[in-house]
Amino acid sequence: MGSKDVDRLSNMPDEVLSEILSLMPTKLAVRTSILSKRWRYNWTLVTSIDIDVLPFHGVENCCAFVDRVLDLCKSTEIKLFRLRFSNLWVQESRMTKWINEALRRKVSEFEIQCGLLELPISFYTCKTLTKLRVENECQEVFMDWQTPFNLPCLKTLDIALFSKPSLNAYKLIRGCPILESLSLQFTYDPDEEEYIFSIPTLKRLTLVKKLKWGPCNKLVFIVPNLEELCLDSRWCLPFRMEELPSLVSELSDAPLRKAVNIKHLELKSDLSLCWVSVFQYLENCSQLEHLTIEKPGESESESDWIEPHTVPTCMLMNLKTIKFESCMVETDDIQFLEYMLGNAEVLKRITITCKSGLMEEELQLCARLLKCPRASKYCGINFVGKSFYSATNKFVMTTMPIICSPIILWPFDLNGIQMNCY
Amino acid sequence: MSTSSSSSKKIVLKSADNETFEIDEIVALESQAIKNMIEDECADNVIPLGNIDSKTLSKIIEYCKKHAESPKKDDNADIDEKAVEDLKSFDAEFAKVDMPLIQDILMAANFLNIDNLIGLMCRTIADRIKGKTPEEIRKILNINKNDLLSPEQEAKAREENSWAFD
Repeated sequence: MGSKDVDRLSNMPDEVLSEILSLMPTKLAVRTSILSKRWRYNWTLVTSIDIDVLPFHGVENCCAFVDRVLDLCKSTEIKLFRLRFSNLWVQESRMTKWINEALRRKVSEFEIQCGLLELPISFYTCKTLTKLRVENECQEVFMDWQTPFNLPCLKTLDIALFSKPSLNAYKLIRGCPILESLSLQFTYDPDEEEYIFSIPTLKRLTLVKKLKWGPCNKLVFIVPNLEELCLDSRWCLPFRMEELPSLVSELSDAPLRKAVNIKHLELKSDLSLCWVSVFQYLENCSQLEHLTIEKPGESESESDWIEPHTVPTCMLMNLKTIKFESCMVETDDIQFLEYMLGNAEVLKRITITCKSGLMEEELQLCARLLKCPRASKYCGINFVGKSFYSATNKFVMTTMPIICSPIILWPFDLNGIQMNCY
Repeated sequence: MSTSSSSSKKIVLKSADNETFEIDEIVALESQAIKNMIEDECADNVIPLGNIDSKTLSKIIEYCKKHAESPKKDDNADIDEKAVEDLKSFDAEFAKVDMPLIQDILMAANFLNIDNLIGLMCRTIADRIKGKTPEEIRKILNINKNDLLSPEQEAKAREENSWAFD
């Protein structure tokens, strides 16, 4: 050791080399076969197979590569098997062969993205899967997975189905008895039926609705142990949370029942937020500690700020951090932030990310919030502005907790303000 | 002798160049190999590490100290987000060293059986060679010219794995 011109890696055990190769796309791992004698066959020991159609010339070349890799790979256990074919169609017999091969090698994490996806029968009862991501982008062909699933070890399920029925997704969810993390991305559904899921083991739930038109199934989640909830929607918040089954109303698309243990809540919406429903969530999440609100797009219409009648319990007892990210910070957003600063009693940190890029606007926002009285004297404010000080560097301004004087004239008085350059 | 420093059990590690490092036992336990030695009571007062130089060993100790201090994931489900971020940025900074040192650390971490550190070094190497030409990779990893494939062997390897080279 210590000498500069020694190739130490070549003297390391095969497992170390194959661990390095398992951390890169399989195509690049195979390319290391020409590096030297030592590297010639090392890629055949990889424990992750990660193949994307994009760097190949055509789907057939990519399929041939998958065949070849599975033929030559000597690993008896595969940790990750990831095939990304965009929305392209892969011959069913081929896909079946690959999936069966992965199952034979006790695959633990499986990720598949392709057009029409047919699953081999052995997949429905796979006992080694712990993590699964299915992405299916076929809009035209109706495909129906007939057999019920039973995936007894699956803890993380991530579904993005863009084919017409979400029914396949519902079948999958019902086949996972110990599910802890679920992410469901859907577009529209042919019916407006109600589906009820009772998942007592679930801790994290993400619901994403991508299109603003079309009917939608009503999904009801009974998840008493949920800790993290993320709702992402292009048009509004179609999801409502209700504590009692009797309160499920016609309007709600995805109500949550009895989910009072939520500690993390994330709300994402392209358009204006309905403050009434935001506060309904806060009202229902009495244990909430971390709130994130993201508005990636520009609002089409202005939303009115309505101050809630009573301060939600979580704001008095538990809410510690707020992250607010927006392209444009509107008047009602500022009113919301002022309300939170003025009423959240145990708040430690509020992070505001403004991406407008207009320096004047960002400075005004900054100045206004710094003047705002804070209910929690230990609360610090972080501003992340696109244009603060420099167009190229991102600056973060942090105000330290201000105990006696809540008024600071920024930027002339730099007392208590820290600037960190990232 | 100050009470604070004698309050926890100490372990002494000795590098190949005979430098000694006194560390808390809890820090040493980050290494599965040392942990086994201590549990089997094979560890003397001083553990000699004849294949690790002092430069590498001090890096390893820096890593183990930080990770031993950080709250473990399984201890408490409700870890401060900040602690996790903090450890991540420590790891990122830690890996910003030159390739010979990375390889030394990886070799030592493999010998001492420090899982997280092996993973971190492997990720770093993978990131540095990803997308590079074979010639560039050989240079980065300092692969000896005598170990290269003959032109015929290379042509055969390319042909065998032709889909990867298109």
